[in-house]
Amino acid sequence: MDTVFDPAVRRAQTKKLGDDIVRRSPDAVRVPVTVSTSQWPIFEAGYKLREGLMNYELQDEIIKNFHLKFDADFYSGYFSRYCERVTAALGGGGLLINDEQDAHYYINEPMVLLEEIDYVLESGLAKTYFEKVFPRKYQSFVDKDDAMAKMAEALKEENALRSRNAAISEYFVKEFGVPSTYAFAGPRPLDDFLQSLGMKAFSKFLRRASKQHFMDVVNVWDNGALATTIGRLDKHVDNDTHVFGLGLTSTSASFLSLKQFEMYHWPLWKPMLDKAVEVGMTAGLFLEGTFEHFSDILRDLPKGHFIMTTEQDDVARMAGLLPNLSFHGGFPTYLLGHGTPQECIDTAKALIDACARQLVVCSNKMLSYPNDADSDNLLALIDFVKEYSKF
Amino acid sequence: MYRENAPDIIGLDYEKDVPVLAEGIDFLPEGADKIAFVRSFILSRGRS
Repeated sequence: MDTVFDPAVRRAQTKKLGDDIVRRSPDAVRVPVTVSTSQWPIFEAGYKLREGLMNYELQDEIIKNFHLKFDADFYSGYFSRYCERVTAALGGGGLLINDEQDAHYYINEPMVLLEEIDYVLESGLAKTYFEKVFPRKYQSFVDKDDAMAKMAEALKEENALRSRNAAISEYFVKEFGVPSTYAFAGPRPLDDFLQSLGMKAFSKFLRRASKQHFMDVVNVWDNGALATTIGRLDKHVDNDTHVFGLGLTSTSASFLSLKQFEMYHWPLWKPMLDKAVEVGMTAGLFLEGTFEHFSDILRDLPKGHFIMTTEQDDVARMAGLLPNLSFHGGFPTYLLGHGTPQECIDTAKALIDACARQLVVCSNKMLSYPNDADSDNLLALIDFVKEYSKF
Repeated sequence: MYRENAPDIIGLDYEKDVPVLAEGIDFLPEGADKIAFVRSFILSRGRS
């Protein structure tokens, strides 16, 4: 007799799969396998980028069918990061979609000027964003009346976006039995500061500002979020709607030397990591690029709480260097796009043989563009990991 | 490239204009903090 699918059973099993790897439980059943995508499922389903990003019903249809086809253990997201309808209501800005090249790119210009740092300190983040950043970023604003009218429409779209994101996450949890990767994300004040200033001005300010002044400014970009996150960690009740507890990501770390990382970045993360340990939570950490040069710092993290998302680093090597940590990633994306199913299987086997007890298999980069992956390769990878990695 | 004087051209005023935007909201449930929603929108869309 066929077993009736029970999403609650699947959800509990998936939670345990991920949890056991992070906590290094001897009861771990196998290596989980996940898919990290941005817009690749849109292309995989045969649509163009703009039609996918501007239509929530289509997004939902695409991502649900994606799961039914690939059946990964869990996913990095369900297009939740895409706010193109909101920015379209604002008249465009921030992101350009190029359907001819199947690409999109962010307009990378400084939104806060270096000479406005004092203004930021006096006025705070919301006022700075509203009065300075919005007019710069949303370049179709003609005058104030026009800006206010566009923002009124954008507020409706913002509500629609948040409602859609909540609904699709709930659908995956309740109907598919697929937990979200994280319960909640932590703040990224350094990243937001870097994005606002742009790389050039950020680097200049980093070199010239005193430590205290730099942290005072970063504190504005934090905007109380660190304290809020600590509070959430304190109250958090673990359950199977998510695999890991806290998610922390950083792109700014890739711009910092080891000394700068120790001085400015680690003090922002450490209170949250300490709290996660204190309350018995797990946390996923992403430091964009490579983090091997931060190994001496990361080595002090206790066993059983943390999983590092990897990008450029060799997961097997990092598992040896950082035995207390688990790793999410490791599979070379270029093989998914340009290899064969057998090559994918052989590479997955080597990865599992090297560090299975510390491993959640995933591509080492988000699948974004049409050639990032071949569907047969991804299917071969997922099916192989589920079968071969049983402990 | 953005307009050099964009903030001055548009002339948005956080203290005056945010309550106006909040007042125009008719899609949130009864009792929702509309000012907080507008503020959250500003922080999200100003960031990314």
